[in-house]
Amino acid sequence: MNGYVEAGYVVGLGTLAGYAASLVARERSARRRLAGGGVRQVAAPSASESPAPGGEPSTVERPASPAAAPPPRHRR
Amino acid sequence: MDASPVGVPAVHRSGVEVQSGLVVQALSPAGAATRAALARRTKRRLWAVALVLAAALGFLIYKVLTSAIVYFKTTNQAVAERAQLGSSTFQIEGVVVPGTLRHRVGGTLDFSIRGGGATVPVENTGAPPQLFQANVPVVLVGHFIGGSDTFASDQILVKHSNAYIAAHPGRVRGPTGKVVR
Amino acid sequence: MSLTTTPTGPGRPGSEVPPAQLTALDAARGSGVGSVPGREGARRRRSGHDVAITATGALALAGVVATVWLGLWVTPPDRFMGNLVRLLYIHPSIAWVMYICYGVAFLASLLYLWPRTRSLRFDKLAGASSEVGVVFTGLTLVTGSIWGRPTWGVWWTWDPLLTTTALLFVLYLGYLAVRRIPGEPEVCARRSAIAALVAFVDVPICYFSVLWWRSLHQAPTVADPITGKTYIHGSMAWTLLLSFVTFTLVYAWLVARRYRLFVLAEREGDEGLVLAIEERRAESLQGRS
Repeated sequence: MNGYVEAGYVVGLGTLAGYAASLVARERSARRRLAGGGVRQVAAPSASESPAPGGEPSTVERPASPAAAPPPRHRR
Repeated sequence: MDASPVGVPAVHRSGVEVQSGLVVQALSPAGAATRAALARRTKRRLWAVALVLAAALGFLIYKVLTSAIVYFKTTNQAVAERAQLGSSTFQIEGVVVPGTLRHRVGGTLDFSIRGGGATVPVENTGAPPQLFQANVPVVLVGHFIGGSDTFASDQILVKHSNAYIAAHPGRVRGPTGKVVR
Repeated sequence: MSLTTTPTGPGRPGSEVPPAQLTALDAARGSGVGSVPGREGARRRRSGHDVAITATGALALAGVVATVWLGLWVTPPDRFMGNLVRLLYIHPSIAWVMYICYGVAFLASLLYLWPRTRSLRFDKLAGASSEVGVVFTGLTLVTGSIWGRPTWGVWWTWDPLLTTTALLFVLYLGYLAVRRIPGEPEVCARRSAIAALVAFVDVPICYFSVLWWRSLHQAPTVADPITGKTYIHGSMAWTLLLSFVTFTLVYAWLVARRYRLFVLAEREGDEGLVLAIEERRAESLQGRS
């Protein structure tokens, strides 16, 4: 057509799709942390270095959440 | 642009986390130091963000007060204020008078704009936007040429109305047809 | 306790978890989140909320497809703008959603501040809606710029509507920053709610700026606030309307998913608390033996 129209559609819909994907990825990793890095680690303290099983490529940072990372740090 | 909202994980900064963090801290004296360092870093980062945002905010409010509130002068207003305006730069708005468009050698475009009963002759340098034509309202950036009532513009902005009308109402095709280009 | 989006019943311990409530948390952990292993997505029980969100998402997706098809292929070019008019089916609806986002955030913040309706749900809703709002504001600015270059002739100009929209973007980025200031959940929520009310001041200014002040930008096409008239007809009008509905659905889906993230984060916070306390308990027991 003339470039601008296509650019508008691509940028608009592409950004929304990207944002949506990031929400989905963040939710997935949050659920994984909740499922894997949860309380059961207390029962098995030796295997607690990596909190979540399986690493899915996620666009989102995985901050040191108190549910996952810090507890091992306080262990001793 | 979209990176910032996407990257803002309010998730892990939620008060909940902080609160449980406080409890952890209270329960474990060993973790207190790390927690405090973390809190300090968060605080520093927040101050940096606040500073940047405050600067942006200040700039934009300045722009609202200076450029946005009086974005342009209408043609008749500019003519009435000719004396005070001198050769200062401002935006003028008017409708391109049909029949006045004339391309001069060297790329200057002459035309007149009309608004509120007044007419101002314009000399424009620089390429006009593709939608520029007679009878459209335009906003011109420039200044009056000293000693004359001619406006020297170096930028034309085409205003368009909020009405949309099909180019070829009779030739609109159905879902299977191709679009008129 | 199910893994729903919206806050579930009274069993939800909220965010503040005094040690006395740990038993409730323990119970929740046993039946809910903590016990779901591995690829939880497939195995997770689907609640009514999940279904509603998925349905909204599907509708939104279908709407986007229809809008693109109608917008790019079916609708006619405009008499003045030619094919550039096709951005009409993207830009105004995104701007419209931006107003919805901030409107919802404003109402939710009011409801939070109002003592009778005070609930952290409204805080989460305001946070979710504002974050989505910032995305849509950014897109309003970018798509508007892409449309402005070929029609007006410039990418940007300090027109009142453009300037106040940019201001909205910065104000709500500020709101999101305020949300991240650490503190007690209730204190944070209160602070954020007040920030949302402050930021909202610019929303009506932005909307009415094209009427109050001289502007390069045109007044809204659908329901022009001056005349209440609509200046568009035929398939263009229908497609424009469809785009508004579509992007509103996209908004609903995004906010629901963002809200769910807040709920999960809250739960993670709770889990972290439980974990920490259990650890300390274990530590002290070890120390004794």
